[in-house]
Amino acid sequence: MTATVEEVWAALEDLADPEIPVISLRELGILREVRTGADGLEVVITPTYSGCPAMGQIEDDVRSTLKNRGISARVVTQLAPAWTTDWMSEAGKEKLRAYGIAPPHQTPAGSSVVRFISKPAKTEAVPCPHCGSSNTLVSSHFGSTACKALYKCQDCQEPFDYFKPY
Amino acid sequence: MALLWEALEKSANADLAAIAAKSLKEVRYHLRHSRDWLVRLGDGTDESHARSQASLDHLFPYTQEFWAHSPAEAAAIAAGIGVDLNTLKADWDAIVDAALAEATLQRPAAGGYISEGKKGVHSEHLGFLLAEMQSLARAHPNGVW
Repeated sequence: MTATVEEVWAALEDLADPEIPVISLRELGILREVRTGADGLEVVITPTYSGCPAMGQIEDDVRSTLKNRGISARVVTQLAPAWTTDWMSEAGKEKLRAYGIAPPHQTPAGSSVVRFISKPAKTEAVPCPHCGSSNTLVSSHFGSTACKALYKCQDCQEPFDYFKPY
Repeated sequence: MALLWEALEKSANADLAAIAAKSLKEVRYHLRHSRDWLVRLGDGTDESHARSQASLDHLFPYTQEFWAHSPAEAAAIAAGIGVDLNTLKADWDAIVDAALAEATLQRPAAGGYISEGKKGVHSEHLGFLLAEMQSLARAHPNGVW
C-alpha cells in the first residue's frame, strides 16, 4: 500500500522512546521528517547521543511499527544539524518531569570549549522533579545514562537524573 | 578531543563537520567531568593528592601522542579538510595548566616517550587488552546479541 506522509506521521505519533517510555520519539525531536524520496517514503531520524544503545532499538521500532501497519518506508539517519535538547517539545519536557527526570534547560548560545569548562552553568538551578525545590546539588555529570547527570535534592533528599542540555 | 572537535566543526568536509558538531556537544561534559575529578582528587586528602601526582607523572608523557599525526590525519590536512593538531597545543596547554593549578598538581615534563600508536605499532599491553575484549565472543562462537 502506498501511504501518505500524514499517515506515516500518524503511525509514528505515539511511538515511545525505548529508554524513557513516557515520552514519544516525536516529542524528543528524534523523528525529524517524513518525505517522499526517489524510492518512495523516507522517515528521517537523528541520533540523540553518540553511542546511545537505544539508537538501534529506535530504528528497529520505527521500522516494525510501519511494517505492522503495512506501510513501506525507508529509515534514513541524518547527522546534521545535530540533535539538540532544544527540539524537545514543552509537553515532552513536562512528561519527563512527571516521570522523575529533570528536563533540560535551554542550551547556552555559542559557548566555546574553554568557556564551557571554566564557567560551569551555576546560574541555572536544576529544580528537583519530586518536590520542586531549587536547592539541588550535582553529584556526578554522568548519571544512569551518559545523556543525564545525577543530582541530589538538598530539601527532600531524593537523588534524581537531570537530562543535560546538548 | 574537545578542541579537535571544535576545530573540525569548521571542516570543509560536510560529514566531518557534522560528526564534530555532534561530538562537541557531548565531549564538553566529559571534559568537565574529568576536570572535576582531577581537582577533587588532586586537591583532596594527602593520600589522594600523592596518588594523583604519581598517576600524572606516569601518564603525562603519553600526551605527546596527541600531537603526532596518523596517516589519515596527515591526508586530511593535505586535502584541506583536517586540522593540524599542533595549532591546538597552546589552547590545550592553557586548559591543562589551569586545571592542574586548581588541582594543586605539578605539571611533569613530557619526555621519554616516542609515539608509535597511530602508526599501528603498539606495546605489549595491547595483547592483554585484546584478549580480554575478545573473550566473550570467543567463548560463544557465532553468538548473536
